[in-house]
Amino acid sequence: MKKFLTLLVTAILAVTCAFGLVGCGASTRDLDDILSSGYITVATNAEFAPFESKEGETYVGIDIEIAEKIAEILGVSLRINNMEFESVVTSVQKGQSDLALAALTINETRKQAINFSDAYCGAAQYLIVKATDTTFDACTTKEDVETIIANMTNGTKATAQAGTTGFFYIKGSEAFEFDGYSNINATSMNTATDAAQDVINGNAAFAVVDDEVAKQLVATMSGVKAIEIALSNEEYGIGINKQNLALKFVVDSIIAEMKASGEIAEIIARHTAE
Amino acid sequence: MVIWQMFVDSFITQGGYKEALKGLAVTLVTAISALIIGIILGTTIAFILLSKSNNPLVKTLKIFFKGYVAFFRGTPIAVQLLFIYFVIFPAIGLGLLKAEIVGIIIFGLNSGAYVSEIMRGGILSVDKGQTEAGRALGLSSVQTMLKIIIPQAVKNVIPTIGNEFVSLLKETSVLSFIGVMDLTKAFREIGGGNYEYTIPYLILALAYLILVYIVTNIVKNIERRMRASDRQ
Repeated sequence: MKKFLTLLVTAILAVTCAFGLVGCGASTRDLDDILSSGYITVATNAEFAPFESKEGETYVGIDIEIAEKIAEILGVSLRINNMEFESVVTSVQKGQSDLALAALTINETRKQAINFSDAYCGAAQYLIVKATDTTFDACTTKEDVETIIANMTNGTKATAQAGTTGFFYIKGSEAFEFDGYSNINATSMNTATDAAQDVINGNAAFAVVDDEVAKQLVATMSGVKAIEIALSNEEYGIGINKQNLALKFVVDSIIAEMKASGEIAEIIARHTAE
Repeated sequence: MVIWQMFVDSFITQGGYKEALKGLAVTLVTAISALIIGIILGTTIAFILLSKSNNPLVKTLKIFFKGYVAFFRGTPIAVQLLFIYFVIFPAIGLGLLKAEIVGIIIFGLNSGAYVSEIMRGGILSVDKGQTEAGRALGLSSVQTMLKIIIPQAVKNVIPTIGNEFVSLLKETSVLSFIGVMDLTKAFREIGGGNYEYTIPYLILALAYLILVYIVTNIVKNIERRMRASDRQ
């Protein structure tokens, strides 16, 4: 045991020393740093069309165009940090990325970690089921859908992308004010596409994803359909580090301007028109 | 200590420890089952690959297992999980298998490929004179294999099998790719509840360190006992 403790202490010391964690707070780039460095970094998860995805080597989507606009107005180049959705908030919180544009729903828990810009897009949660599944066909309201889900067999598997509103909808969350379902086994996948694939393969009874993404998934994947009934309504915001108030001010003005000029509506319409 | 309070909130108050225990069980069960599958499968493959038989069935199996070993040793485990879970299993009608089971199968198949190489090396490491002596004493080739070669080979491969178990234990941390909640995923969710990862990730690292330490010691003990009769 003594040997083990020595080993443990040495290991912890080695790691903390190597990464300089001892006595060193998180350093963030403020607006001046961004302007003088000539680039702005944006954290996203580019597997969430139509908001962000990749076409070959280039990033495309609603959020990407908004990010490009912000970079253009600031007169800096745009650097995308593509990562798992679960890491996006942390990346901004720790100052590794300047902004988070990832169809990020504004909620209380996230607000404790980062600041949000004013909302730039509304969203809802839709169910994705197998194309041949008629369970929810007769539903007309949110209550209809929720009653059917609540009456499913105990342990029924449902899926969603890790860390997303859809996942918390199934699992339950205080921050989102979702009760969750005690009879449903919520499992999370790395991407919305993986979650939909799990439904197609029959592993999960249904998936819960954001409305525009659900429509996109139905358009591109065969074998799934969306139940277009809003299970919850929320708004997307741009994530900004808490210390970077100047950047938040700038981003808010840009969003306000883009909303007033109808540019955001135009970008959203262009990416969601099928 | 704000971060400590946040950790207590998500770990104790909101019941995160239950998820962590479940995740620990998944990690251990997957690694142990995979090792058992791997040893059985790997030993079988090693024998077939070393066999000098001209039987056409053995020859076909040899080609098949060479491809098998090349695939599982030549691709990352994360790719194997994604490819087999999302493409292969649904295509052959196993799409409905629970992800936890699929995880065990894939890690078992993966381990089988590595263990086959370990076993092959172990068998080859036994001096040729041992076979010759066995045969000269009138044992059949099967008897020689079972009574003389295998016991010595097993002793030689114990430390390497121990290493294989340690890597399995650590590699299971990519199980979340197919939606399985293992130890790593459990702590990511505990941290993700309030975006405070400091304590969860520290404990996660310690948990693996302790697991690996225990396994290493068990393997060392087995090794020591096996060496008790050696002339040093």
